[in-house]
Amino acid sequence: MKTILEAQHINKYFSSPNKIKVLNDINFSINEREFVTVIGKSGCGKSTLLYILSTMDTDHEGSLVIDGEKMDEKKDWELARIRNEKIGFIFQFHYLLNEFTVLRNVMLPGLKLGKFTEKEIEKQALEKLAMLGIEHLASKKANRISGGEKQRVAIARALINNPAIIMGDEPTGNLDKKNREIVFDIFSSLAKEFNQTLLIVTHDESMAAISNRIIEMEDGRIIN
Amino acid sequence: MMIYEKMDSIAILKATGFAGRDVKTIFLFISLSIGIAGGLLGLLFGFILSVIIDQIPFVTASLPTVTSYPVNYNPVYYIIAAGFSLATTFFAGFFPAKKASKVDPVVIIRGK
Repeated sequence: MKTILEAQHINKYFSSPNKIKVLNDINFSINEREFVTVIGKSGCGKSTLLYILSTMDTDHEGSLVIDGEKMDEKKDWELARIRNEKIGFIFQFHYLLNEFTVLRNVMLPGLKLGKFTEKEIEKQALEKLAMLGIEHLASKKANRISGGEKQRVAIARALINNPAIIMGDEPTGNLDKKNREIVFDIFSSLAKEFNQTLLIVTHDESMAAISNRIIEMEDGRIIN
Repeated sequence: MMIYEKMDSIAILKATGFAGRDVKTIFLFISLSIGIAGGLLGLLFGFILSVIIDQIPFVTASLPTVTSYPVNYNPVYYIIAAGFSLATTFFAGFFPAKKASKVDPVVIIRGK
């Protein structure tokens, strides 16, 4: 089976005010079609690890391989291109650009990639919204919809370029029970029906329960 | 300054695959659009005002041919004005845009 993401000997230090080691020799890989959750207490380094794996934080030791490509030594714009093409990102708080409509928000990474025409991207964006049951929101302004709806729109946006992997940073952390369950259902159907590879950082036990593999972290190490 | 209000948007753009230079282009584009729109409006209202001023009677014995307030419509002045409005907005936008391009999305996303 194809390896989508591989972390090799990743160490990370925070330097202010004192030098503290926050990640200690992290080694693991994620295969295609795997649904992996990373759990651990606040401050165990799980979010820090995700920022490194998503190529946004490059200030670390060790190597990162995404979809067979080594990320070390890549330039800012090359990494941006990889995030655009291969990674779909879902955050806890930072959802959408309020200036744009829901549809435009979903289309944006597709327009940036430039692989398809605007018309085709619009069609794909509407398909993704329909898949998540929110196509009726397409023409609404992004700040006119509820938090749960925003998170589903963010998932549609993460899917628009058919990424190799979806990464989530506490994607249910800011949602109520009903919306959390909707997001769980979306993730499990993405994993099962669409064979989407997922890497989700969470402290939500029920999210971890629906994944294929749980990576447990403590004090900057993988313990399980 | 606008980029401080737009930190979240900058972080989202960067996380979804826009590079620093794309962010810079976006902010420069915004400031130049303001420069173009402001410059055009300024030229238009300036022209209208000078036409009105041109109607004001101005009679003096030393200049027998002049009957109204003298106005110079030389296009060079309009070109200078347009150039100045573009240049000022470009420089006013350039440094914030450069700063926006350097925003670290991790700091913003972690910050909440």
